[in-house]
Amino acid sequence: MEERVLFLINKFQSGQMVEAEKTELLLFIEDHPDAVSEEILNLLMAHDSLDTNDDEIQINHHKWDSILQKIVSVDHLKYQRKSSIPLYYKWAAAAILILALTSIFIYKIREKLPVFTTDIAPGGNKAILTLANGKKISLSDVANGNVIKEAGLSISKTADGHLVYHVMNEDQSTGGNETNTITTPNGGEWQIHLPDGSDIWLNAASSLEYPLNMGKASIRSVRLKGEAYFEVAKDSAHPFVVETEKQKLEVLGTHFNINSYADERTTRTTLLEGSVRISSRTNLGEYEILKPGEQSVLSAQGIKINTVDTDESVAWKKGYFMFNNEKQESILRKISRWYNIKVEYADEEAKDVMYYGTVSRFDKISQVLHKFEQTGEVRFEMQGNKLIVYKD
Amino acid sequence: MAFKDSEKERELLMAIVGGSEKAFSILFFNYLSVLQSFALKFTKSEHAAEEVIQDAFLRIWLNRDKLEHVDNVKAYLYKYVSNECLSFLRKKIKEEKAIGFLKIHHADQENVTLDVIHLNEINRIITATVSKLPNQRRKIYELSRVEGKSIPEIAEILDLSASTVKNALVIALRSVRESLVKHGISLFLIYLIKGIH
Repeated sequence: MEERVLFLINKFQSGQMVEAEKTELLLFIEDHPDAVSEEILNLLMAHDSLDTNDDEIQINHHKWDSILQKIVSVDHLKYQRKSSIPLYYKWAAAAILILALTSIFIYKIREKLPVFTTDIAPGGNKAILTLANGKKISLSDVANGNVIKEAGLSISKTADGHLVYHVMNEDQSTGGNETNTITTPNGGEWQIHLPDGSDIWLNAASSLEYPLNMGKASIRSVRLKGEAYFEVAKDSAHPFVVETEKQKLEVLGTHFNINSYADERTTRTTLLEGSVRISSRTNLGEYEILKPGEQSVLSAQGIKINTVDTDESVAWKKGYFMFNNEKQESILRKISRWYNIKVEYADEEAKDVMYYGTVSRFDKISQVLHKFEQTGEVRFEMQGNKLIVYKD
Repeated sequence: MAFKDSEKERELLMAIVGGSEKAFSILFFNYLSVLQSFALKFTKSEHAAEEVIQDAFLRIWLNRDKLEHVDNVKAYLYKYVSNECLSFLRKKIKEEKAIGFLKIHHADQENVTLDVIHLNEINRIITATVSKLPNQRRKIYELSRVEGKSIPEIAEILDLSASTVKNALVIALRSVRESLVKHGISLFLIYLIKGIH
């Protein structure tokens, strides 16, 4: 038997094993693991006695040092740090945490991914269109091509899944205040090309209501819940107005992003191009004019203007999450909308860990969460649709 | 590659039993070059070779109290490495068979995953286990693993005898292993190998 096992191991190493031999070796391993292991040990002993010192040259000390460090720190007790590090330092450390990885680069991650009994796929193109007559159409179920006809309009779904409105007959075009609404669920996003030529990207758990007579109305007025990025077609004769629950925004033609989720305390508007006027809907008369590169933050305290990295605000539209010194709590709100999960904190302090970094929106949730775990600050457990967050 | 001076070797092993990471790293690097070249030859993959050695030494580290009674260190270490090679072999053949059957080509097929024990998970279990140890034993373990104190230093701090401290460490480590086994992570040699002394 020993000879046969040796023969099979050699064959395996040469890479020329046939199926029958694989089965045979596997059977040996299952039935006599001790004997096979001993053959391997004999090979190792033989290798040891032959070995010359040439191999020393190939040792990459840096790499092995870090592997060794991983091994011996396996029983370092993490909870000790809680009591030994003053809160102040933890905050300072938290502020500079950097996500180990941006998925734009593919790193070889040697550690196994966290164990999730259920993994969750990312969101995708999903939305419901509510027509003027109240009829609801699931856009993800509609085949690409010309699909929906409404009074004077045809709404087609393009090959890449976006909606395009065409005015079929000017005379028949609805002149009243009839509207359509596009609603994305958790984990859904949608791109809309409006009759006036404006493009709108609707993020997850959001809705956009717009009038059908948009191309002709004196004011192009839409209503937004949640988050969307707008590229408004230039038309100085017809101002474009976006109303959210607490804010009104007026533009002539410009690119901007509005984040007005109900579970966020603030409404954030980020301007990329052009100029917009933001006014509060709760505190009438209060308004600010934004310049490109600025972000307005509307809260109960009023409107504040910051200069920001605009990439961060529109990262979602480009397919990634981008965090620029952002709290775990806020990050997980974004992630929960996209993966349609609920978040629960086992440790309250996990909410305040802050991160810099970029993560793809198109990875499975386990891969996204793993990147946070790699910082050694937090740990996750997935129970069905519920994510439990621990401070490590 | 064995240590020339067996007295020195014994000292080194006892330091490892006492939790010295420095001593463990001396042991590790002393045998690394042979083990690395063997694992490379055996697995034909740099990545798999690293995992074999990492997992073998992880098991050795978490069984470090046993080094006290080991006569032939080299044979002892090599046993663990052979075991990991066996695990690799089984896993790899299973994967190849599955791939052949399903006619699936994985882009990252090179990236053979062994039964790598998830280090974070182990760390979490160990931390939880130690926190539940009786007070004095926990204190001793913490002084050793958190503050890196040696057995004589811990004995002095807590005003205990060195053998009490050592026993507490050994018992704590045993509790840690038991608790890992309960979580499905065995750190013993999976297969009993006869004929090694």
